Amino acid sequence: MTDVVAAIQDAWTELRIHRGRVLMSLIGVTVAIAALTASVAIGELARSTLLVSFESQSGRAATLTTSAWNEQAGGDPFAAGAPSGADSLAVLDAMEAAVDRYDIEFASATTQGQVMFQGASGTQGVQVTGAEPDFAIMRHLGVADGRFLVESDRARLAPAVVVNRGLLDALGQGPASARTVELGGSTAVIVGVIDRGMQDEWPQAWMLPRDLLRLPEANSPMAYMNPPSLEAWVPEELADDGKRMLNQDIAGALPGWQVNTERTDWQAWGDDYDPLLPLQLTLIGAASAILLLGALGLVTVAVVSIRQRVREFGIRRAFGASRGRIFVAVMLESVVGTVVAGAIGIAICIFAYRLPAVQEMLTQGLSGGELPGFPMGAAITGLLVAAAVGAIAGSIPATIAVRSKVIEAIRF
Amino acid sequence: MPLLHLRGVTRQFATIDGPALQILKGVDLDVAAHDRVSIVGRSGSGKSTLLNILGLIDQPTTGIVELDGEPVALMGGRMRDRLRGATVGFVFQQFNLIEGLTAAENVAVPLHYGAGRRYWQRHRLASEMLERVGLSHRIDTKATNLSGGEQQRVAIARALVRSPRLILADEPTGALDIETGGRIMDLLDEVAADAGAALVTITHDVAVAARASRMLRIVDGRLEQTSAVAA
Ligand SMILES: Nc1ncnc2c1ncn2[C@@H]1O[C@H](COP(=O)(O)OP(=O)(O)OP(=O)(O)O)[C@@H](O)[C@H]1O
Ligand SMILES: [Mg+2]
Repeated sequence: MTDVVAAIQDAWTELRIHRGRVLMSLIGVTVAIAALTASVAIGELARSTLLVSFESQSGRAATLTTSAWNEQAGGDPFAAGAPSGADSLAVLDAMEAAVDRYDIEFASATTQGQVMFQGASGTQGVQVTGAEPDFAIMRHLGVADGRFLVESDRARLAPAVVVNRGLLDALGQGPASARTVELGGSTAVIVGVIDRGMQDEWPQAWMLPRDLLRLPEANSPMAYMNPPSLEAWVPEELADDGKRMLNQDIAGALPGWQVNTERTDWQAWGDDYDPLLPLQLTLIGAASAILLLGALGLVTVAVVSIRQRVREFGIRRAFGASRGRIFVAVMLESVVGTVVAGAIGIAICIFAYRLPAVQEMLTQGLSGGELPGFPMGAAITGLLVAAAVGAIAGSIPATIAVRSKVIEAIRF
Repeated sequence: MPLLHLRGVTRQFATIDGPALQILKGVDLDVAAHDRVSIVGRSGSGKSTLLNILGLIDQPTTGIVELDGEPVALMGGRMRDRLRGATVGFVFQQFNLIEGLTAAENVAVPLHYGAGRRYWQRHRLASEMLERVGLSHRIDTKATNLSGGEQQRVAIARALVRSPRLILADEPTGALDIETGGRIMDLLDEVAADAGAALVTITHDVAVAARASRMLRIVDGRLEQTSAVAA
């Protein structure tokens, strides 16, 4: 313990003495670590936004999806007409009972259907998703205006609906005045508006599954209603057991139905699946090249100056320093230097990240999201790399230092 | 048991062309605790070579060196380094302070390689040692800004800061004028006696050599007893 402190203390004193000489070579390291940290950070930011986009497509880890279809309909929901409303409601009952029984915190029955709505320029089709309040959390569905569906919407007489910007535009009224929409043969109350940019150019809507199934149009063959399925977001370690139990439970409640439960979030596609790896590797490769140049400068300066310090090492050896200690001391000088330089580089990165101009630039790449805090993983990576570069660069002068003989060093 | 025990110590240096240089040809020497030994000899006779062997910096080509009865040749390098730091304090002719460090930091250097307790007290111990050699007003002065006499005082403080049992001084007054040299020798004798350490001094200077209780001369690679008059 004391050895370690003493060695670091020695290194620091050395750096203080040779400030000017070391400073120049460390500036390169600062720049390189700043570049490296920035590229890792950008990679991590991109990863977290891409993650959100993947999760909004396929659910978070672990998402279990239970689907049910009637064997009498030949397994194809579209072949012999959609399941009757009564059948779908029975499926919903079974699914909701299972969610209650296992106390699943986040779950939503979902169903899809195509119904007509009354727009400004006539009747138009719209894809309606039957979903429950949890769905917004499970799929990162942010509401730009108003709110998503909530539990109390189940008690409404007129069904609540969340619409997107495309549908609102088709209604031809200002957002403030649009309170209701004629949807699938019924009047629905608009409670919220979703706007995810490009994705919401075309009309789309979300209703509670039961509200959707009860729409007069929903029972016509033209509605192309999917039979309901259940999405449950469960802790990853419970995924396997949960899958088996949910499936058993729901199948038991639906005699004559075929029930299947699968894990459907993208992280279940494959253990090694990492869509961002190539991007990050490229960024890190570029930063490494800069870092290599910085390290080469550091080695050159260190090797030149070590020759002037041979006498010093001889003196230290005479007063009890072992070879190993001299090696570590010289290497630590380099490590302390690069870590300090790296820390400054990282600080510059974090400072730059906070600048309003940079924040603005970065948020353009995100779909209207808030920027998360500076990714700590990037900062830690930068620091570790700085230390490693210092150790590697320092081992060269350290080897020279221990090779000099004490008697030669203090002879004259 | 003597502190240091040398029997039949030889040391030769290989040369690039021609035969190896035979510098020490069979040195026998015992240094007891509290001993005062001085070694004289012509330039190039091998005084520094012998001192390096006494201080475990160098190893003899043949012969036995024992410290506290332990054969040094059988020790590992790390062990030797550790023992050197704990047992020996060097004072060199060229002072050999580390440039860029202050007087106190120079004095504290040996404490970096010893026990943890002393490391943490290094500032206090170094200041006390500098006070002891009359340099309490120079504690934070850079080594390069000190006079020769002051630098040698710092070197003495550094040699003594770990309370060694053996002080090896290689021409400690060689770079000083006669008067300053005399005062440095007074100091060295005094602090060595106070600390109860053995003192081996190498010198050209007969007056310096005469201070010791035992005077030896290197002649043709061997040690012989001598008297002050003959030196
Ligand atoms: N490492 C070495 N390699 C080769 N020759 C050496 C080495 N060290 C000492 N010598 C030679 O050994 C001889 C004795 O050297 P040493 O330094 O011991 O002499 P000295 O008695 O201390 O002389 P001085 O009074 O000048 O200091 C010299 O001729 C020197 O050149
Ligand atoms: Mg000499």
